[in-house]
Amino acid sequence: MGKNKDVFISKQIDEKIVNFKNGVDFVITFFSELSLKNIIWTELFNQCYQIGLRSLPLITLTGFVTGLVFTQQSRPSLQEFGATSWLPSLVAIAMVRALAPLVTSIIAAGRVGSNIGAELGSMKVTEQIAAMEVSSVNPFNFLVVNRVLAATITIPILSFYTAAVGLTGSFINIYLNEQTNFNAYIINAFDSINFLDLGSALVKAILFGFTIGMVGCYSGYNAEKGTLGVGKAANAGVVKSIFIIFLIEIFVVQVTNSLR
Amino acid sequence: MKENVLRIRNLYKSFGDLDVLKGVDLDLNQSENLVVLGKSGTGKSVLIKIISGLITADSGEVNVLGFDMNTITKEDLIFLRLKVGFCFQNSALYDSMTIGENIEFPLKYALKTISRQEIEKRTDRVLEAVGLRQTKNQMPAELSGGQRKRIGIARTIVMNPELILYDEPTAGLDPITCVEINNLILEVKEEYQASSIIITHDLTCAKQTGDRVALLLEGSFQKEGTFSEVFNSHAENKVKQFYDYNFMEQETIKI
Repeated sequence: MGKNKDVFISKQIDEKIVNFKNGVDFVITFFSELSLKNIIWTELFNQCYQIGLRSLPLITLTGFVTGLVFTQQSRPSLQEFGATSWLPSLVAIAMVRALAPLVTSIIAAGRVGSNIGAELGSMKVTEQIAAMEVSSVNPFNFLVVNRVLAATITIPILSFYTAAVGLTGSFINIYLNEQTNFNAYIINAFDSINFLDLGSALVKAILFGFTIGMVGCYSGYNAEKGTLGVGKAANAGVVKSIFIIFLIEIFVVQVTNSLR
Repeated sequence: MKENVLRIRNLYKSFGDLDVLKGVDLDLNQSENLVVLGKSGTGKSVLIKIISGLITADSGEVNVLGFDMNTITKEDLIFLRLKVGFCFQNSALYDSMTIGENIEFPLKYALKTISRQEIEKRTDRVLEAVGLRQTKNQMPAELSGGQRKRIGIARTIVMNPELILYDEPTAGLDPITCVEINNLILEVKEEYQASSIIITHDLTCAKQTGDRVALLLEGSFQKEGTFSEVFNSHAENKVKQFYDYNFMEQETIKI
């Protein structure tokens, strides 16, 4: 009836299925290429610097403001019950369990995911990736493995750093309002955090970092159609990463709560 | 008798419904410059991408330096690519690296056992050969189109390849720079004794650099021989049309 025989369900759904399969293949290729001998240490350190250290100013500002504002906004509700002394533990639980990994990852997805997508996308459309391939250098190893590893290593470190900066912001707010000293604040804050909280935050941050690196690299590595493709790759690096980060967040929270 | 470095028989390649290569046969001898001429979209670049293993053929035999590209293993392909250089149309220099780092890149990451001193020596030598030693610490974005092409060639010859594939080496350059690039291709042939395939639609480039010219039209080679043999007065209609069209733009070319 004039229907294209190559279309299985509909063109758009077919594309999504193919994209999903290609994404899974990309992840499988990553793990098959992952070995100590394939890691290019100078490039890995360079990427850790690009992803980690260069994100610090933005992460510091966001973490500090998050802790400060969260404390400020939570105070009136707690004041109604005369429970402002619970502020340190409330902020600590919120920062460590959810806010720090999530805020760090969303900031990193915006900064790092788009950067990786655009960089690899531009390398793809200007044949720089093909140039690596024809000179006997494995571009997947050099470009993808090192970037994904760097993101997987640095995002957890940045997450705990964000938690520390957020708690500092919160302490300043509490000190100015309740004159609580630093020792009392720290004891109160950490009293409510257990290893499960730290463990789940670490697992989440590792998964978030891996997602940001992988999605950014996949989008860039498969960019097509010139500069338009580069823009799409940068955009996909952010949007898809954030979407997957939220899915992981929901999943890990369910698993962690079932373990409590 | 000169050794055969490349042998292609009955090569077919299509993309979807578009048949690009339709039964291509080609041979290349040692230390020979073969120019593949043809209009845009006739599959010239596809041909050299198949030779370098960047894309695979649908059917046909492709033998490069003794390796069958249809059955080549991953390890052999890596080994083969050390001997086959590829100069991209847009040079494909790595934007985030300096010119020196661009040239060092294949030495550093493909020949992992090479010493730092040897890398420096070979990098300086090829930069000298292309006349751009002073650009070593510059970024690719700071160079002109012609300089980028030269650096692309330098990055290829630093590996001492046995076969060099040039994809439109003079595209987008002014006539004077085109002549300089053509001379550089001849100097590379002289110095490195490498065999080359030069993909172009530029008749000046074909005449100046080619020992042999093969005209690719409508997916297969229509004529092969020296420049004057291909474009002699008895040439077929399609060949004449190609020449006349280019001749209108390049009036200075004489057969």
